[in-house]
Amino acid sequence: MQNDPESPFELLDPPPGGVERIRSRMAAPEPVRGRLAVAGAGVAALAVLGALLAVVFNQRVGPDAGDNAIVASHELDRLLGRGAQPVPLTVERDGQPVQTEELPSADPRVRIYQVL
Amino acid sequence: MTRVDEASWVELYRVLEKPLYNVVYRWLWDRMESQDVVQEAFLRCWRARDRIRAEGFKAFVFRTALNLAANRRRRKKLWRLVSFDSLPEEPQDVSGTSSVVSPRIQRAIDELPDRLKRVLLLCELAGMSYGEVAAVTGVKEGTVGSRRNRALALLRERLQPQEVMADAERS
Repeated sequence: MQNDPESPFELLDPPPGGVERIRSRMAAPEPVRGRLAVAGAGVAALAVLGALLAVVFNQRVGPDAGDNAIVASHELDRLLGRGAQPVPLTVERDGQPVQTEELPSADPRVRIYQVL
Repeated sequence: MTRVDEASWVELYRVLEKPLYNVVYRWLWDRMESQDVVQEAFLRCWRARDRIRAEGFKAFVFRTALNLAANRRRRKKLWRLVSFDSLPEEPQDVSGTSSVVSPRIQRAIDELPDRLKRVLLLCELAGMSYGEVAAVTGVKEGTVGSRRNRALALLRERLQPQEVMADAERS
């Protein structure tokens, strides 16, 4: 069956020069393509990991988290018996800053401002 | 437990090139590409030579070549699909050298399921025993036998009508 040209299993000769070619390819230094691919895959994996962490981080340290941080600091002050630190007051009306003036208060825990 | 030493490597290639080439050629139907796959399979084994034992070498190189050929074929099919290429469905030898296997036979082999084709080509073209084919394909020897018989029956079935028609025309 194998010598019949119409046989599915006729043994064909490979193109010439295969032995010389494999010998020279074996002698050549190993291409860095494989190592570069591994390095590239590593970089890509790190980038994906970074992106995921950024998403998670942004979710945790969003505006709400920031507010929580401030609340926590006041809460900490309260727990430690410290007075709240004064912060500059800013007031806006229709998107425009408005001047204020602090008025005297009989209670140190209460601050009174007058909008000018 | 002997390792394949470097001095034997080219000799191994010389011995295995033809059976490997014939198996891969029935996958790709392109002479130069088939030789390229055979070389690539050998080079991969060469680079992994510290981990390959002589006993397992033949199975390893055949398995590598078959996987490379199957991947290339899959890529070509995908590319044809993506590029809406109007090339015929069946691959053809376009290497400029004579296409020695008739399109009718190409089609009949291509239509075989991959698992049957692997076994059949390894048995018939690489002259492997059932045990050797089992080592390459990872199935039991009994399965190799049944797959080979099934593949031969399918091949005969697909080639027969043409022969019957040719005989009818001759008479």
